[in-house]
Amino acid sequence: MTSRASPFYVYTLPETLLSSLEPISFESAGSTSTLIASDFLEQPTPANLTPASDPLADASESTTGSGPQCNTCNYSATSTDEQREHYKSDYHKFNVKRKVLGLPAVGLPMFETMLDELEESISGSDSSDSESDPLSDSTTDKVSNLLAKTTLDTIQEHGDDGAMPVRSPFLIFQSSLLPPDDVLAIYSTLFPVPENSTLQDVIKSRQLSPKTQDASTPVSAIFMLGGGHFAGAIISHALKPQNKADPVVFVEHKTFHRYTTRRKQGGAQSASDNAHGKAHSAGSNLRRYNEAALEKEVRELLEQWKSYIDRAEHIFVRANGRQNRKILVGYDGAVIGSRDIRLKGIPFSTRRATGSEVKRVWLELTRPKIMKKDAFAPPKSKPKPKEAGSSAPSKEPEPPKELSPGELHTSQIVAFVKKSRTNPLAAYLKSNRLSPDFRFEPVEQYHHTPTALHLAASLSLARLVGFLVVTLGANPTLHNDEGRTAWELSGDRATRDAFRLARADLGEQKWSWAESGVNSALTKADIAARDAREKESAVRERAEAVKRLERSRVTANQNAATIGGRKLASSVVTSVGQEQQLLNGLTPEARMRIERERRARAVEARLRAQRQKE
Amino acid sequence: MAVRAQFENSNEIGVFATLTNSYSLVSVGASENFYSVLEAELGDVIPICHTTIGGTRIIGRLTAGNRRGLLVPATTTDQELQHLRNSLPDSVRIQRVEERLSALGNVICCNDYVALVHPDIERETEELISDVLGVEVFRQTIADNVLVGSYCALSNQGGLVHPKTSIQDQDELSSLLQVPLVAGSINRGSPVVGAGMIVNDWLAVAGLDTTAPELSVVESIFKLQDAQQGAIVGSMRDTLIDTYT
Amino acid sequence: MSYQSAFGITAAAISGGAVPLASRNEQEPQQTIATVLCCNCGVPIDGTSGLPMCYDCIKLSVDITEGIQRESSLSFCRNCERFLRPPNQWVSAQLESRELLALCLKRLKGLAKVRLIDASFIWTEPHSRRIKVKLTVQGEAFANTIIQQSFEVEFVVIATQCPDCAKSFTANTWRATVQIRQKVPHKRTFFYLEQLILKHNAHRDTISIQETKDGLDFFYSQKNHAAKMIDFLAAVAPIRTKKSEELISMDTHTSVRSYKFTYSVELVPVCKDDLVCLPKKIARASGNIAQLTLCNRVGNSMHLLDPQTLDTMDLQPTAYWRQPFTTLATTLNLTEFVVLDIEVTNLKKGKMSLADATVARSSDMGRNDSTYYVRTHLGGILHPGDTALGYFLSNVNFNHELWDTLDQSKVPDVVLVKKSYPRKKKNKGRSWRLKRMAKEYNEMEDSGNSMSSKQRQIEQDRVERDYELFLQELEEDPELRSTINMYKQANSQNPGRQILPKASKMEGIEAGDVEMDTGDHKMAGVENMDVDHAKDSDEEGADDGVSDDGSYEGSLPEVGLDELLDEIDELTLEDGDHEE
Repeated sequence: MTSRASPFYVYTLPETLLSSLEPISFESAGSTSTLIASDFLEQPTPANLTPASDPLADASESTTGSGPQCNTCNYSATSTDEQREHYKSDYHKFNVKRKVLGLPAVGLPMFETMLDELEESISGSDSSDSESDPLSDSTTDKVSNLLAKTTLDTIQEHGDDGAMPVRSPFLIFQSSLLPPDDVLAIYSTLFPVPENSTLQDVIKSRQLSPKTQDASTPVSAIFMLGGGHFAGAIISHALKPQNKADPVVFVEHKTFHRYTTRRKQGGAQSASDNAHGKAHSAGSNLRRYNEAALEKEVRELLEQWKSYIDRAEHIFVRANGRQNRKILVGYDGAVIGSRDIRLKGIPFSTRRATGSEVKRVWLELTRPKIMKKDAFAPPKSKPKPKEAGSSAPSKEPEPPKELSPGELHTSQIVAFVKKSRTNPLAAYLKSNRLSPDFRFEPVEQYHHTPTALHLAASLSLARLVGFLVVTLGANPTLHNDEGRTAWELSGDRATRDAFRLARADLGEQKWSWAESGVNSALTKADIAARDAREKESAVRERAEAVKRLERSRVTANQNAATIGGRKLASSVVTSVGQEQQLLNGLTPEARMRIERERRARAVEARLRAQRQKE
Repeated sequence: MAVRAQFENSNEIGVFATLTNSYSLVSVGASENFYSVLEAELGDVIPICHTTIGGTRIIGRLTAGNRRGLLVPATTTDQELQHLRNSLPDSVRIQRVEERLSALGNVICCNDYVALVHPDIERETEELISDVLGVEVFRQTIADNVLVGSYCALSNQGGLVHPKTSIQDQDELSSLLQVPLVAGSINRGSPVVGAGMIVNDWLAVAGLDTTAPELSVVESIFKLQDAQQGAIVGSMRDTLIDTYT
Repeated sequence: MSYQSAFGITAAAISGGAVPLASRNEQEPQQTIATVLCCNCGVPIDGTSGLPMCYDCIKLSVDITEGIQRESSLSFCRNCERFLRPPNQWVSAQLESRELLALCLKRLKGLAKVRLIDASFIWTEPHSRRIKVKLTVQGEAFANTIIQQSFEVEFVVIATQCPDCAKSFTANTWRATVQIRQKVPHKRTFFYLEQLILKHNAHRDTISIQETKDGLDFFYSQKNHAAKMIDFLAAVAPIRTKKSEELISMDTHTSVRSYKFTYSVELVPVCKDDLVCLPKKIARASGNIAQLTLCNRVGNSMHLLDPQTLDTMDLQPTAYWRQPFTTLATTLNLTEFVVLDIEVTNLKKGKMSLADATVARSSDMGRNDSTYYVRTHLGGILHPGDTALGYFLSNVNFNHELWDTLDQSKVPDVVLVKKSYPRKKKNKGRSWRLKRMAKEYNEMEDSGNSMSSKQRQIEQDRVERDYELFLQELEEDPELRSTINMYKQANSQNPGRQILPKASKMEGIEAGDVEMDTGDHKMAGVENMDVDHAKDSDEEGADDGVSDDGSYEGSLPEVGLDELLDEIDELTLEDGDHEE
């Protein structure tokens, strides 16, 4: 499932986006798993291999064949010897084991590719001792390795299947502002839909007004408890606009840690007490005390925050196990009743309960995600009209009823511009007989970018700018409501270059270029020359920088351990830390894969170095 | 000849005894009746060895063997091993197997030519099996069960497999084993045919609960019926063969 | 297998989804390739279903109802028509009702192992004392084979007596009894005690109350209930108790004994208004009070008064029982006097004020002129012309040893006790009434004495006279009234009505009233007495003039409306007033 966080925030969605959202439902979503299964099996199979999807049905066919067959691998041999050979093969053994694990058999080519992949991925790790192993042994090892790997993969696949749309935590929206393949996903727990209202209404009603940020701003509560760690926060729905890196506004927050879990054995002390009777060690007493203390502290805190909790819009609770949950919810005189409808779980996995984790959870919850549609919908049931509209622009897309034609055109043009699709755009303008300088509607929404050219420039779509000005003849001298021309909106040099190129192409007479603010004309040759120049200077600069660095390193080595050592160490630490952070966000499998890659790269580098030495 | 017997009130004969074409193992116990049944049938043909394996009496499930050899698990004591060596013919190789799946009788199902084994058995064990027992070894499952020894009773004449085994699997296995196979039950419907009976080329002993139809299936598939009985059971067998082809 | 045919077991096997029951006859050929033979009958069947036998054999050989009782019993109490729900609950349930079905199913052991699909009654003749229930159960025969079978269970209805009924049929179920006795010829103390008990609801745990000669017996099922009663009595009356126990049975193995306890409670035989002669010792110990005293009030101690000096003393029951004495004269011996003249002295104590009065016996009026000069404590109450009740000692001979020790010269001629009020004839329309406890008359004692019906009549009359006197006493003594509960007379025409000065006019109406009134007791004796009184007072009134009417006709004893409780309260009390 591919997804990326969008730059939006669910409580301050842009008006345009909000109005364009359409919920998508997946009635036939159950077919996704079969899709994956057949993907897995849809390998080019030789003539004698039939897909393993239905062994019984296929077997009836293969019984008609002359030779003996293997039901496990759907293999029919021409002779008994061949059959026996097959039974001794790794391929058969692999399939037998898969069958025992309840997995479908794989085809021979598939098996081979899997084996190859396995070899690649393990080459880094055991390259040093693989030579010494006898070849025969390594194959069985491979089979078991492969098996272990595929089992893992399958489980993961199945795990994904389970989270598929039927019980997806997301509300899925499509929007005309998004690429047609993409959908916007919002965690459904944020917007419980009452029976008599629609989803959009609910979302709209929850939007914050942009300016007010006072006591009336809705808040939500997040409590996480596990392993003796507690983190709780009352979070305002408003964000800190000035701080992009850390925009979450904590009204209240608090974290505790108490030593309650049994080191090495794991599990809470009380759980162990319940299961095995009370232990009488010093540690257990300590933990028991700490458990009680944690409970008391947490409940006191909840009591303190009662006023916030009572007006909180959502109460997200992550508490592993009944006991942990009981600490937070539904005890005698609890602040949060166990039947409170605001009480919700956190619909994704979380890490240790810390303040930053609470922050992450909130951001994760409130950032709508942009996902590929086919991550949710099976391809057959995928709604097509958008694609049709883009690939065949002559066909009029079905207009949403409430939009005026101007707005409709606007949304279409904006969509094309955003995807920087020149040809459909040209065709669309032509078919609807629109001028390239078509003013977007509604005006107030597009006051910054009233024309396609403005939009293209502000989005830094250099190619599109060139296309609009040169081919379609868009007017670069038009001003937006703030009195700026498209040139002034262009975000980077490439865009500006596009304007200057257009000026060169169209000639000075076409527009009053001075008014448009476009700099002097530029030809492609000029740009190439400039680029070359810059490249040269960049190379020079880098060389200088390296030299500088070396010089500084030398000095650093000279005044040895004190300053330089620490600096170097700290820089190493930060880089490692960054990488670690990168890794932290990934699933264990993905992390393992990256680790493996990294090791493989290291080995490759080592080998290359060795070869070079030789 | 197929007979019914009971080992100390248990019908799971295959748990307490092993029978091959060249020897038979029975566990020590108070079941004189069972001994006398075996003695009567085998006494003057092949040796019957009373033993324990690793101190237990479930020797049928712990050992696997055929005419040529006998595999015993790692739990077998030296004394027991010595006793077996003394009791069995010299032509029989006895081998102790270091295998994680130590209930060899459950994971190995063999006749004198071919053996089916548990898919997860170690490679060394597989080699030992083919070495000691002189058989070809195939990792297989029977009716999706990995315990091939429990769910299959096999002789050189034929084999009885788990009743749930599909026709296709039976065909596959019988082509692999090169003997006719039939699915069936023992001990009034018990699917653990391997543990419910012992069989060699001329004798099958099944639990006392085994019904007449079950016993007749056993006799026909292992080709144990006498000439005059064969005529009677032959018709039954014909219907059987009609149904499973 | 015999029972299967007997009970007509129907069985159906449903394999684990592969072959549904209905379609098993028209299975498609490719689905049902027979791979194995049925282990029982040798019929080729599909082995892949996992069934070891063919359906018919499963039907024949598998009995999932094994372990479920086919016969059971229900205990039924014929008296109250209730069924026993073990362990000890008795519930009433109609035949063929849901409740009874639930009861039956609960009785069956082994039902938990199968899934109950259906249960219904099969009709049986009620007199047959048999209940038949048809059950349909599903259970797993082999792995993923579900079999449905139905069978019948017969319940024998065994008639037993439930403990409640048993108790109601057994007379002596008490474990402890409290026997209250007062050796006095009247019952007024007990009437008062009864009201106290009612007010304090002290009789709550009693299982029965019996009236016996000289007292009451309270029976309790537990010893501590009796002890509670004793405590209550000790708080309200001067008593002496004696506990005795009777061994009913003893288990020699466990030394468990069961006893019956009897608390004998004796009330001090001195009642209000009795004249007592104290032993010298007691009189000395209590501030040298005169030996001849009147009993002024009886609470949990006796309150004695010397009418000559207004000295009072409290005599604790313990002190009394150390040296018990009897009364000299009781209220029965009271004589009516007419106050001729009264002179109040300065000595006052509470409501009492000492006075010198000249009185004459009412019976002497018009016969002789003998008057008596009396010192009395009723100075505040009596006026010239009033009648008062008192002991006439000058011509009395008490057979009492303490009396004999008294210095006869110092004994007053008359001791006035209380003012007496003219009672109009048929003064029955009281606006208030009292509650009574349900009492049983002790038959055994009766049979022992074998009273004739006339004797019994006399006895009853005496009781009713005592009761009337008690009621009058209540009317006269607000202090006494405050300790008990009085209720409004429900069927009284005008609750606030007092005794009318010219009652004779209303006689006819009142007589009608009386007939309707079941709450009050009319008896010849009292009426006669009343008639006498009325006659006296009428005469007196006529003699003394009308002025008396104005001043103290109104002082006739009244019971204020605010003292009365609504009758509604009474309805909630189980013991109601069942006076006959």
